[in-house]
Amino acid sequence: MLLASQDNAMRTGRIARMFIYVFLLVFALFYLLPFFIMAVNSVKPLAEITGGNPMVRCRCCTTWTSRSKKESSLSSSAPLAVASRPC
Amino acid sequence: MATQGPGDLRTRLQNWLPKLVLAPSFALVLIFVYGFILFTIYLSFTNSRMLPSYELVGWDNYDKLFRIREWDVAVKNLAIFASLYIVICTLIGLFLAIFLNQKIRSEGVLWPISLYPMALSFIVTGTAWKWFLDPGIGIENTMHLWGWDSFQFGWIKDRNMAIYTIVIAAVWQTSGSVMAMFLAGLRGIDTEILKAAQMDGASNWNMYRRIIIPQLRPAFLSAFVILSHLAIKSYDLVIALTGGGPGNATAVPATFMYSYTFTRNQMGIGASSAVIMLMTIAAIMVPSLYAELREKK
Repeated sequence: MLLASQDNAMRTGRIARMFIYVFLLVFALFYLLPFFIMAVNSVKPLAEITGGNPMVRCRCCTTWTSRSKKESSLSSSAPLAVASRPC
Repeated sequence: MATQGPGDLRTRLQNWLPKLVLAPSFALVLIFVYGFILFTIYLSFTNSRMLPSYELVGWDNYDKLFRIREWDVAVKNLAIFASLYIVICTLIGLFLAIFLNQKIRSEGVLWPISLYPMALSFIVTGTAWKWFLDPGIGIENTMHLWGWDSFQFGWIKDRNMAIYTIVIAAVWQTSGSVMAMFLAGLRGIDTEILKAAQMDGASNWNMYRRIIIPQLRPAFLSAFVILSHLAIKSYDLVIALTGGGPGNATAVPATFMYSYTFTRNQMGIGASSAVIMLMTIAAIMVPSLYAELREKK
């Protein structure tokens, strides 16, 4: 108790404490929301970005090795496969 | 004499060196900030169209500017946007700071989470917001996929509501740094006063209302100054989210200025609108700076 009055934090009950945590959590989610969208879309292939739902995870994520694979498959199959099954 | 000569030179050099080092940046600021401000003010009194012209026409551009309907729309939008943005940002910042000051367990995690929006370019995060708010692919679509079919959130496509989506994104961007300002203010309050109040039996609510929040006055003032000039300058926000549309429902003075100066070949009118914006910012900044500097004495 003495320690609590050392700085300017309130003495709060359990319910007030719960409320504070919920409030902070809600705002943390609010702040992270665009970051989530950015992060999720950053690993999608272009077809999924332009044609898919931006709010969900990538269905076939890009990886470090997929570039060369995709380039070779692009040259063999002439029309771009529809977004449904690009990989 | 022999020892004084080089010493004299050295002290003279030491006196000159700071000025010499600062001179290039000072000259650049003088030309590219103040020089161009003066150039814009001059242009606003000329009949410049696509290229600057130097033929003075008096107050014609200002006269025309205030007859343009789009300028009225832009000013009205700015009034809605700025008032909501400043009030909501201040409230959220204050409450977050007060709550975060209660010895929260994961405080070190919440700090960067609330501050990172300021660190990222809004052209990037604005695109994420645009996708999120778009009824076809964003939150509305997600809610429909989850089975809540009656959910509707199409503000960004609605002429009357689109400006409020910009408020949401703008609050997201800056409320964290407002929180940091208030938190710094809260941490600076003398605990002795609070202890005395506690001993006298003041409730938490009274302590905040009568002691802590009044002591945050400088933080409120600086938050107001920063938020108001950010609101008047906001351009990337509108461009990334709505591009001024639907129609010109979310046009603000900054987008108006850009479109008249650089795409509609009305440089004179664009310059006059820029001068009006500058005067508005000056009208807010000068009195508050004056008040703040006088208090310091």
